[in-house]
Amino acid sequence: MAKLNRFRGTVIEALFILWVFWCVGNYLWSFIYQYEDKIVPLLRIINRG
Amino acid sequence: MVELILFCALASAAWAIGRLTLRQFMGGKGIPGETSFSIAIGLGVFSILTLALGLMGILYTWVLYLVLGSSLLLIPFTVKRKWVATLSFSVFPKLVRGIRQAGLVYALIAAILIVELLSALAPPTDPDALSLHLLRAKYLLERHRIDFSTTNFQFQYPSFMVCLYTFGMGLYNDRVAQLIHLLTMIMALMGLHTFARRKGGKSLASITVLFFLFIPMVNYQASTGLVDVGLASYEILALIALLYWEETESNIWIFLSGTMTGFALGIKYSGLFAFVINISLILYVGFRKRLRRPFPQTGSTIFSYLTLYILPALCIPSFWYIKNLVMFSNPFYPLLSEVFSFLGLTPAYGPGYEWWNFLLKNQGSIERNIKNLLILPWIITMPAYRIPLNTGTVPIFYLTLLPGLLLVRNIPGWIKTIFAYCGAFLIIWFFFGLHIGRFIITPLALLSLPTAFSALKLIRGRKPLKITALSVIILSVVVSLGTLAYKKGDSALTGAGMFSDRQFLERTVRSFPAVQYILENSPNAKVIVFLDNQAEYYLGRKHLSFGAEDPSSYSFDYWYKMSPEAMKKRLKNTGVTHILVNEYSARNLWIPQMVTPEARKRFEIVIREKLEMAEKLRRIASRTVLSLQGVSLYEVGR
Repeated sequence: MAKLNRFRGTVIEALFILWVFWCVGNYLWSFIYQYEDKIVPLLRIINRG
Repeated sequence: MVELILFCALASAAWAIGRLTLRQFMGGKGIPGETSFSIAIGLGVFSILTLALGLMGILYTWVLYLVLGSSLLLIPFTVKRKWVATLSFSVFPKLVRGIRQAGLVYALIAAILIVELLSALAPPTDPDALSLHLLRAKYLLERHRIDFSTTNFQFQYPSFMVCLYTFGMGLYNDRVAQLIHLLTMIMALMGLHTFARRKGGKSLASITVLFFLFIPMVNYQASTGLVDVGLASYEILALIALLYWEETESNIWIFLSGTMTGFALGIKYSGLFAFVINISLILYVGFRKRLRRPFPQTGSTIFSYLTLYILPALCIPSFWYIKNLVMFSNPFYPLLSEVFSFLGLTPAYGPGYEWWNFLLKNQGSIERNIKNLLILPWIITMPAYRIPLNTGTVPIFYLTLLPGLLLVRNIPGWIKTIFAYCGAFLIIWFFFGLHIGRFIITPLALLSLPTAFSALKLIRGRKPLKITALSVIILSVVVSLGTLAYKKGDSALTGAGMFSDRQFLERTVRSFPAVQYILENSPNAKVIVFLDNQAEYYLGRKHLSFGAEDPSSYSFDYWYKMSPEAMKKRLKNTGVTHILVNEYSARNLWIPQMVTPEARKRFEIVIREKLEMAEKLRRIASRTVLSLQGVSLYEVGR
């Protein structure tokens, strides 16, 4: 029982950490995405090079 | 500098008045959060005094100074003995010790507050502040009395903050008004700090305050002449007072909470949200206590609790509501018109009302249904759905730590109460409020408490959790400071004296070069301003425009339907010499993302009409004086 509880605790913790980093990643991505028009040409130049 | 001195004088006078009143009611014992409640009450007294002076028609600078001076005389009575000693021997070392103990966090808080303070010293530029709150204060001071003119329906809102701004502007200038708004935020900060400290210690308190300051809307608004942070502050204090009531069972807290709600209702109609929720909270706590044991001490009943709360909450803002009831048969004019016509009262409406009502119904809202309500946390925080939060694309990072409470075993009762309050607030706002971020500062600010609680628990937890929590906090700090520098950098540098006011205004207010031209070259010009609120404020009396001078000019339709010849004749008859047109603002009228297609079409029509109007104005002008960045100044021919 104790083992099961500990396992459940770990799963919830892992889910929570995933949630936080997913949110933060989403935020950061949306921030970068604002500058799409500047980034995409830059990426193209890099790819060609 | 003068602004800062006057601000300190005003803050200490407010504190003295409030403290004397509080001591009168609550006895001399240490009251938690005494300073913040004192300042809140003191500001309230100043607002009511300004209203009284306005009704008597004596809103003159010397009268305001007299009021401030006589309230400063109260300070020695407040701190009676050893007041110098108290200040120098007790407060200062405490402050230093506090800073040394929680070092970095308090240093950050201080840095943010200094930026806010400096940017409050720069000239106001926020469009809403300039077209409504500060403009109204300016009109009141020009006329030396409260005006009951019906030409501008936006001037009929409850005006607690406008009265305070009138006081500040009357003393010196609009910077004092902005500092007053900052003071309301500081008082909420102190209230939250004391509360959090009592419940969870120093670290909880400091992190709560830091999170509070990270809310982008607070960050942006605190040093402007808007009113929303003031509203949120009073609502927060009202809830804190209720939580103290639940804890101490001393009924005076209910009365205090009612007083705070009264001031909130005097600031904005949306103070009603807090009013309704607080009443339900009182009912809940009252019933729960009765189930457990007979009513404490006095044997009060729920009825007496409610009376204690509702009486001050309704009496304090009553003037504004009764005025609207008498003038327009609708205390909530111009809102809730359907309800009051349903009741058999037919509200009167000013020109321009219809368009505004349309805007209100369609402005950037998400569809109000159960599905969207369920995913509301998502909608508020996620980029794809984000409700316009006055922030550009700045997220509220730290809120991601809130679900960390799932990992905490015993969540204290006060956190549950705060959750219930915020939930109820968000639901009411979702269905009845305007979907703009500034309307939910209160719940977001209150959520900083449970979030800080969760963050602390996580930091004390196992390593992965600790790293997660710390990285979110660090990222929040970086993003918030970045936003602050980006949003407030210019104004803070202006406040610090690095740029002149003129340079700042030239950069931020598009029509300022035209305004400057008029002020410098044609001081006797009578200007009519089209499509621009910021210019109205800075032109002062020299303009004839949307509003107060001439009722007919308020309506856009009135001018739109006229032929160019008739328009020219009318302008000449009113003595207008110049026309200022801000075509840029018409072109860039904000078409929100999520309005219905019909609304979008209507917006497009409005933009077209405005541009047609600009074209018509260009034709009747005899000479173009200035044309810069989409703003034109024309001379009307003789």
